[in-house]
Amino acid sequence: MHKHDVIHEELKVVSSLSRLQKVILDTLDLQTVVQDVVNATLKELEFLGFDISVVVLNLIDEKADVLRRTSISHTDVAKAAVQGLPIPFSKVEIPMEATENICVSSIHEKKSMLTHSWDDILSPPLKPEDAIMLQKGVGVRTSIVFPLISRDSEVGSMIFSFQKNITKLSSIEEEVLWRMTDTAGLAVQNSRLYTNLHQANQKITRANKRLREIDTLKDEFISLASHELRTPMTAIKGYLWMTLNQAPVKLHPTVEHNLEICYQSAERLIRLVNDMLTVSRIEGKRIKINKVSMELADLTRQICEEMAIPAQQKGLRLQCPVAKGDTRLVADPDKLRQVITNIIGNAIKFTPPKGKVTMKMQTDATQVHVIISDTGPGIRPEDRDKLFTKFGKFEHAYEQQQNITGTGLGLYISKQIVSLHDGSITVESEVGKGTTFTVSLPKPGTKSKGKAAESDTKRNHSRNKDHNLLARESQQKKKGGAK
Amino acid sequence: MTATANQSAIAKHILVVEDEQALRDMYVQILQNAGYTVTAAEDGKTAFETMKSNTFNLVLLDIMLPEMDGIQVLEKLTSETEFSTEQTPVVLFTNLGQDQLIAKALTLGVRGYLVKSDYTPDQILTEVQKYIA
Repeated sequence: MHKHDVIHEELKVVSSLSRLQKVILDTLDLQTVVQDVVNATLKELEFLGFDISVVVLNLIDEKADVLRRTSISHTDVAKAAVQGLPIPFSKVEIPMEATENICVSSIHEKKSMLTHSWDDILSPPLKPEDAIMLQKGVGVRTSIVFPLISRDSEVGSMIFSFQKNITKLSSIEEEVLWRMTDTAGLAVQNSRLYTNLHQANQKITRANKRLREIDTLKDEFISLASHELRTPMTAIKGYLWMTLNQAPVKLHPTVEHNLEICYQSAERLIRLVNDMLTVSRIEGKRIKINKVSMELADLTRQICEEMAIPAQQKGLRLQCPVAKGDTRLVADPDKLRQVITNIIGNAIKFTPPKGKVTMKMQTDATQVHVIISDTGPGIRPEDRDKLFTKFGKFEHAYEQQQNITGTGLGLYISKQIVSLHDGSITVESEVGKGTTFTVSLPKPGTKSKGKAAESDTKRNHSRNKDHNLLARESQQKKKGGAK
Repeated sequence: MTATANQSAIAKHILVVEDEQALRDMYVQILQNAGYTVTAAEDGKTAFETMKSNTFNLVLLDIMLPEMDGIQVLEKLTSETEFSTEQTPVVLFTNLGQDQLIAKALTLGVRGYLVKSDYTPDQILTEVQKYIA
C-alpha cells in the first residue's frame, strides 16, 4: 500500500477505537453499557470496512457458573436470529465446563476462535440440528469469538458474525478486534464493579436505618420498662419501710433482720433501674449536662461530710480535703456529685475496717483534680480493664461480698459523665496496698486537649464501627449467613 | 412526728392523685398519720374535677393516669379554670424519667418533681413540708 494510504488507514483505526472507548467507557450503568458495547462495536467495525452482520455479548454469571447471552446488536440479521431461537435470548446459557462450545473455550484458552457452524456457539442449550438450522435461516457463514478478560478476571466473550465465508483474519483485523474486545471487557467490568459497590452501599444504608430504628425502640422500651418496674418497687420499698419503722408491734429480731435484707435488696433494685435509665440516656445522647458556675471544693467537702458516718460505722478513718487553691468550675453539680459520691462510696465499701480513705484536691494551670485514695486490697491488673465497663464483676471474694449494694454501673456512668465534662478519670492501684482514683476536670476557659482527644477517639470509634459492619457483612456472605 | 401539721388549728389539706391502689393507700396513710387531711383521686378526670372545685394546700400529682394524664390535667386546669399553681403548690410525684415531659410540667408552674421509688415515707413527709402552702 502507498505510505499515505497506510497512515490514513492507521488513523482511521485509531479514531475508530477512540470513538468506541468514548462511547462505552462513558457510562457505568450496566444495562446501558452492555447494549452500547454491541451497538458501538458493530458501528465502528462497519466504519472500518468489516462486513459485519451481528455482534453478541456473552457475560459470565459466576454464581450460576454459566456464560449467558447478554446483548445483541440491533441489525435485521440479529433480529431474525433472536426470533428463530427456540428459547429466549437471555436463557441461552452455556455451562462454563462445556469446553466444546467455543464461546467458553476462547475464555479458558484466552484465544480467538473461528467457526462455520453454529453448533459450536449454541450447544448444549440448543440441539446441534436446531443450531445449524437457525444459522442457515439467518444466513451467517462465519462466526468469530473473542474472549473478554479484564484485570486478569474472566468477564465473558463476544461473537462477531459475518454473512461471508472467512477462513482467517488478517493480523490487522485481529489486532483491531482484540483492541475493541479489551475495551468492551474493561467497560463491562467497571460497570459491574460499580453496580456491586452501589448495591452494597444501599444495603448498608438500609441496615443503618434499621439499626437507628432499633436503637430508638430500645430507648423507648427502657423508659417504659423503668416506669413499670419502679411502680411495684415503690410499693415494696414503702411497705417494708413502714413495717420496719412504724409497725404497731415490736418485731422479732429474726423477722426484722429478714425484712431488712428485703429492704436492702429492694433499694438495690431501685438503684439498678435508675442506673440503667441513666445508661440508656447517656448512650442515646439524651443526657443533659446543666453547667453552672460552681466551687468544686464546696461539693467535695459536702460529700465528705455526708460520708463521715458510714465511714465511722465501718471503722475507717476518713480524711477530707482542705480548701486550697482555686477550684472554680463550670460544670453540672448534680452530675459531679453522683460521680464523686460513687467513687468515695466505693473506697469506703471496699476498704476493710481499720483502713483509711482520703480525699484531696489539686489544681494546676489547666485542670482541677479530685484524688480519692484508700488502703483497700487494690485492683488486680486483670480486673483493671473491667473497671469502667458495665457490670464488670470482681473475682476477689472480699470485693464481691462488699458489693451487695452495688449496681455494676456506677463507674461506667461516672466515666461517661466526666467525659461529657471534657475531663478524665484515672486509676492507680497496687494489690495489697490500695487504690487511688483521680478525677480531672478542665478549668473554665481552657479548651482542653482532653476534648480534642475525645472527639478524635469518637471519630475513630465510629469509623471502626462502620468498618466492622462492612467486615461483618462480608464475613457473613462468605460463611453463607451463618453466625 | 411532724410537729408542723399538728400545730395548726385546721389541718392542712393535701390531694393525692395516684392510680395504683397500693401506693395510693400508702400515701394516704402516711400523710394522715402525720396529721394532714387527705383527699385521694385515682384518675385524671377525677383529679381535674376535684382540683376545680376545692382548695388544697398541696397537690401530689402522678403523671401516668387513666382518663387524662397529669400534664393534661394541669393544662386543662390552668387554661379553663381559675386554678393557679401560684396559689396551690403542685408537686409531680411520678416514676417516669422523661425529661421532656417534666420540663413541660415545669413551664406550667409545677414546684418540683419527685421520683416515687427514690423516697421512703419519712422522706416524703420532709418534701411535703418543703412545698406545702
